[in-house]
Amino acid sequence: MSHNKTTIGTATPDATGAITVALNDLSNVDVSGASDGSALRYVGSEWAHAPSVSSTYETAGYAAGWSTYTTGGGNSYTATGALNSYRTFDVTNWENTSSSVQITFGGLDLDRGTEGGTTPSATRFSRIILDEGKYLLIATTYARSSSSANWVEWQWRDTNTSAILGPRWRQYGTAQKNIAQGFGYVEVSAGTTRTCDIRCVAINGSMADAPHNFQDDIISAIQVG
Amino acid sequence: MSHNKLSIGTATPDATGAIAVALNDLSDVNASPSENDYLVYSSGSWDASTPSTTTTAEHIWLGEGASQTYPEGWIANRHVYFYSASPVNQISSASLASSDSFANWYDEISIPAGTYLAQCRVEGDFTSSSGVFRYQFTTEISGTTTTHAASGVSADLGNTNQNPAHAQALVKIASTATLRVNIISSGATNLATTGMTTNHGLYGYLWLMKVG
Repeated sequence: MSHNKTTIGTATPDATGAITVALNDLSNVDVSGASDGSALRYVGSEWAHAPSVSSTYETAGYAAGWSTYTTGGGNSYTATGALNSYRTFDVTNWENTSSSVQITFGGLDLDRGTEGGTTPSATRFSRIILDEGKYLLIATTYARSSSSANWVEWQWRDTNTSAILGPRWRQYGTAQKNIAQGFGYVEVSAGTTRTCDIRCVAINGSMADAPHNFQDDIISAIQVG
Repeated sequence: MSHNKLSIGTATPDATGAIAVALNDLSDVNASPSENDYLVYSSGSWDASTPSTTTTAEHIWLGEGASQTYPEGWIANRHVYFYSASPVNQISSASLASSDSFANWYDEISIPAGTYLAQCRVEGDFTSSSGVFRYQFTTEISGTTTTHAASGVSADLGNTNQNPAHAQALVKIASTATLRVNIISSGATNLATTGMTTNHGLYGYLWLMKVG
């Protein structure tokens, strides 16, 4: 028997004995149907074609809630006494929680918490509950005041331990231009959860929880790791 | 010479002359794969590689809300420091530095090639309530500095008409660069060079997220 009987997959020797071997001739490779951009991926003890490795970031979870209330004085925030967190303000009762004022995905959830120690009956989000992961905390806040000189300072905190999760941000009263943004960052260990709120840490004058316009605030988190 | 002397890697002909060549029999393939691994070219050979998860975004976070006095005067064209006793650096091959060696204050971030979403807030100190300056992200590659829109605004905390605005930028760099936040000289007024406060430690932060 000469070497001309040698075959590798479907490849056979030419007159000179040379064998042109394609990837698909290998015993543990099947790339039939591959197209531009395909990659080789190991699946079920065989190398097969697959879409190329993607490095595109796709979050594993997010949550956001916002206000729809438009008028009225609302209740004042305080920086002392009972836990006082920023709260969104919706006209519907909690029992009728509307999907139009919140979105959630993955291991995150929104909670209404308490307002000065009392659980509010309306749909008002003041806490985010997080499963294992790393999260960027994002907020846009608005608090109403009768004076442009009044202000309130917010800060992302761990609801249970009061651990600081980011810098403060200050927001003055009255005008829409005083809508303010704040950020925080939190890591949650495996097998645990953390609850976070936007804490009122300082205040000057009276600042109340009624938003100025539709959807001018948001309490949210996005998972980044 | 008979065909029975032939071998390709560990594969040899059977009685009919057929050779079952596996991928790993090739000279430049070194693959001991697990399920769903990819074949990736690295340093002269093809290796099995576990694909990175798509649910993690590499990122850096500086901003503890700490009551720490800013370590130097606020001067136009200087770089801004950000305080963190426990900086979060989840970007591969990135590093943080303090050009003046201030403990836990960072003003330079070395980042590898890629595309980044950058965001920060700076809270300066001023000699009057009308004090204000703008600030902006810059990148430096081999001595060439590039500025990146959009700038942020830092105003005195007593200025009710100038809420601090965040600087934001989408930064795309082709090679390793040093990222900084620069105080813009144009329009900067009443900056404090003595008696610095804890304002920036309490209100300042920097967020950097690798998006490509």
